[in-house]
This record gives sequence, C-alpha cells and structure tokens, in this order.
Amino acid sequence: MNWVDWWATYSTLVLSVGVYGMMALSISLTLSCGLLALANAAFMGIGAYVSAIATTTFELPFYPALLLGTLGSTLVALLIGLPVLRLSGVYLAMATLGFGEVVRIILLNLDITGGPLGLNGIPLLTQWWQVLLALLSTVIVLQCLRVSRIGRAFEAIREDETAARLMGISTHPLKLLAFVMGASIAGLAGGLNAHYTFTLSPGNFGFENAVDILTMAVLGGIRGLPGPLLGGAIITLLPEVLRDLQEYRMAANGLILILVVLFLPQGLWDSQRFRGWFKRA
Amino acid sequence: MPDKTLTNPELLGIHQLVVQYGHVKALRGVDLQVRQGELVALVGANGAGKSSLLMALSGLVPMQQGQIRFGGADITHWPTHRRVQGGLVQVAEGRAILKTLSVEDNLRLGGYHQPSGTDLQEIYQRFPILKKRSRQLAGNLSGGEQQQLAIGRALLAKPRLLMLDEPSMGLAPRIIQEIFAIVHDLHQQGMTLLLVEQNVRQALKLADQAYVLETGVITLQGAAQELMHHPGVLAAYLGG
Ligand SMILES: Nc1ncnc2c1ncn2[C@@H]1O[C@H](COP(=O)(O)OP(=O)(O)O)[C@@H](O)[C@H]1O
Ligand SMILES: [Mg+2]
Repeated sequence: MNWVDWWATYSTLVLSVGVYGMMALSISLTLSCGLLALANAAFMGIGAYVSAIATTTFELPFYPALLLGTLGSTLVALLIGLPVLRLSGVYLAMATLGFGEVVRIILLNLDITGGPLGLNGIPLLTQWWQVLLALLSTVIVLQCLRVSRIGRAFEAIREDETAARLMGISTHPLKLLAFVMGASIAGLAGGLNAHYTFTLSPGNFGFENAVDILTMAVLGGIRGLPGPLLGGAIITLLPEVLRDLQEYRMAANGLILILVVLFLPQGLWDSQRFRGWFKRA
Repeated sequence: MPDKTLTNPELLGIHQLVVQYGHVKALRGVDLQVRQGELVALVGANGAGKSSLLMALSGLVPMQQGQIRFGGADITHWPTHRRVQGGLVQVAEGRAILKTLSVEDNLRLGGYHQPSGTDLQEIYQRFPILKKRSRQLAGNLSGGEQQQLAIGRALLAKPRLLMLDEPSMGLAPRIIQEIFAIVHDLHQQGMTLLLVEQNVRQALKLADQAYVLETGVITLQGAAQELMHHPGVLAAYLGG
C-alpha cells in the first residue's frame, strides 16, 4: 500500500489519536486536582457542534469557527462550574454526567443541531498539522502549569484539601480554573474532530464517550503528560486492533479500567515506578 | 517567674465561640486570648474540642456563634486563605504532610501566597535534615521529620500566630523532646504560639499562659506555672 492509499484509509484514525490525546489531557487536568468531573465528552460535543454550525449554517472560515467552539464550551463550563464544583467525589461525578445527558438531549431536540439526525456535510477542513499543533500547544501549556505554583497547588488539593486550604490556597477558584481549562481543550478538540468526520450526531458525545475519556486518563496515568497521551492512543486504536470485539468495546474498556485500578493504580506511565527501576538497575 | 508578656497587646481574641456538628456541641461558648509574643497552651483530654477550636480559628469548620478578633480586625467571617495571608497559620493534627510530593514542594506550598516568592534557606538552616531530604517524597520521612517539615512549611507562610495541634502526637519520647525544643526556640525568638497538647506537663512547662478545655468548656485558665500546681490539673492530667 502506498502512502496516499494508507492516508486515505487511516487519516481519520490518526487524527483521532491526536484529538483523543487532547481529550485525555483535558480530563487529566481536573483529575490532577482531585476532581472526578465527567463532563469532558459534553464539552467536546459543544465545541464540535458550535464550530460545525459556524462553518455550515453560517459559512464562517475554519479558524473563527474553532475559536467559537472553544469559547462556547469554555463559557458553559464557567457557568456550570460555579455551582457544580461545590460538590466532590461521587456527587460531582453524578452531577457532571447529568450535565452531559442534558447537553445530549438539547442537541437531540434543537433544530439548529439537526435533531436526532445530527449534522451532515460538515466540510473536511482539519489538517493533520493543525491537530498536531493543537496537541503540542496543549502539552506546552499544561507542562508550564504543572511546574508552576498553581500546578503544585492542584496537587495539594488532590492530596489533602484541608491541608491545601491551611496553606492559604483558595481552592474554589483553582478548581474552577482546572475545570474551565479542561473544557476549553475539549471544545477545541471537538471543533477539530467535527471537521474531519463529516457528520456529527448527539450520541457521539454521550455517556460512552465520557467513560472512554476517563478510561484513557486512568489507563495512561495522570502523574505526567505522557500518560494521558498514551492512554488516549491505546483506547482509540484498540477497536481497530480488536475489530472482532467491536460489540464488546464497552466491556473491554470496563475490564481495562478494573485491571488498571487493581494492578497499576498510577496508570501505565508512572514516572516514580520508572525511577524505581533505574535505582534497582 | 512572673509572665513578662501580660502587658503585651492582644493578638488573638476569641469571644463566646460555639461550634456544633449536627447535634454534637464541640465548643459551648469558649473565650480565649493570646497576647503578642506569648506561648499559650491549650490542654485537655481526647474529644475535648481542641482541634475543633483550631479548625474554627482557621475557618475550616463553621461556627454557630461567637467572634474572633485577630490583630485588631474582626476575622469571624473571613475565608481560610485570607486568615492565612493575615498570618493566622495552623499546623494541623496529624501534620497534614502531602505525602506524594517532595519535601521541597511541600515547603514551597507553605509560601504559596507570599508575593515575593519563597526563600527556603532559612528553613533549611533551622531544619538541616529537611535540606538533606529535600528531593525525597515527604511520605518517606520519619514522624519527627514530618513534624519538622510541617512546622517549616507553616513558618514559610510568615505566621504572626502559629497554632500547633498536638505536634508530639505519635512520636517517640526522644523525638518529642526535639519538637518541644523547636517550639521553645520559636517562642524565644519572639513567635506567638498557640500550642494544643495532651502532653500536659511538657506544654505547661513551656507556656506562659494556659487553658484547660473539658467537653467544650474552658474549666481553668491562668499562668502556666500556677496551673501546673493546681490540684485539679494535678489530679486529672499530671497523675496526682
Ligand atoms: N467532623 C466532625 N463531625 C462530627 N463530630 C466531630 C467532628 N470533628 C469532631 N467531632 C466531635 O467533636 C468533639 C471534639 O472533637 P475534637 O475537636 O477533635 O477534640 P480534640 O481535638 O480535643 O480531641 C468530639 O466529640 C468529636 O467526636
Ligand atoms: Mg484533636
């Protein structure tokens, strides 16, 4: 198979590895500050729909459309983050999943989103280098954040919120920052995604997708940025590798989650484990 | 020995503090005062409400009633981070070390709200062991080292009043002496301290003033030296 044919067959998959790498990074941001927020799929959906409506219905150019999608999910995150982030643990997970359902049902019932049929004929504007650039920018921004005092504060909040507050860290604004930044990344990923898949339907951004994204981050590990990228790639490529297991995809993901939590609680990419190997060697 | 600090201005004033968890009243109208430069001990049995008092002072448990003044301001309704920025700093019970972070990251977080950034050298001079272990995970430190880390981290927040909740808890007797020596040094250097302890003899030895808390009520207060010989304290806390 020559290069052109290969790309024609696999470009969607390759772009998805990048886009879902961004999604895994997006959820790892909230996880790294101890928040089990599962709204990332919904934010991706908002970004995808807003930007796709911008390029189709309003015939806007690609970049302004991407920007609108990103702003849309960012704004919604700001609005729901304020009340929802008062919750924690399972309650936060439930509330954000509930929000995801609300988004799905709204997408299902609006005219402008095409209702249950979704949007068709979205122009194929996304180039591979745009995905790469977006992914790299995300990695750079998150790496700067990690090594800053804010990144350290995130870790403190995750580890022991009371201790964090006793150090004078104002936890609520920082949680909101993680949540909103995660939504921006997801919104941008959604906009890129919409413009290489041709069609969008509300089901793309529901519960299954939310669980997939969580699986990526947990599988890869959230102690560093390579983890989510690795997890995103594995979960995206897995259905291709295991074509015969297509119907059991959710079960396979569930199994992966259980195995990882039991045997590799820090995920595949655990810098501390690696350091341990070197010490022994 | 007369208390030289008795004429100092008030730094912390608690008035009629009530803290309640559901139906359990942990504190029922507590009055307490700490003057500038004083070391005040707050002693009492397990469950007396000592930690609840410090948590209320840090704004981490809601108070049903009462007023807190700190450095002349009414801070009753201030959020936690503002109190810390104002210099009301607590080392919580159990030390609250961030175990998966390095010693140095723990320390840097202590100075989180310092606009000028943090200078760790002073802390490393005071606690050389922390310098030696700066790259290690805080969870791998011994109990005594963790307590030094907790105190060092709190000092980086530039406290005007340092509250210590049972710093000797769970430590070997020799290490406890080290920790009390640190507390003593801080006091000598002019730091104002509120020391919560179940180790009553040691705490009273170090303190200027002391309060005895029993099931949410202050039952005794006065100069620490005097309380040490009070029949009630002798019987209940110092083994006759
Ligand atoms: N978060 C809480 N919820 C309910 N009850 C609590 C809580 N914290 C403390 N208590 C109760 O309040 C009382 C005082 O506890 P505490 O302040 O921890 O005492 P001390 O520090 O003197 O041992 C105890 O009866 C304890 O059971
Ligand atoms: Mg206590």
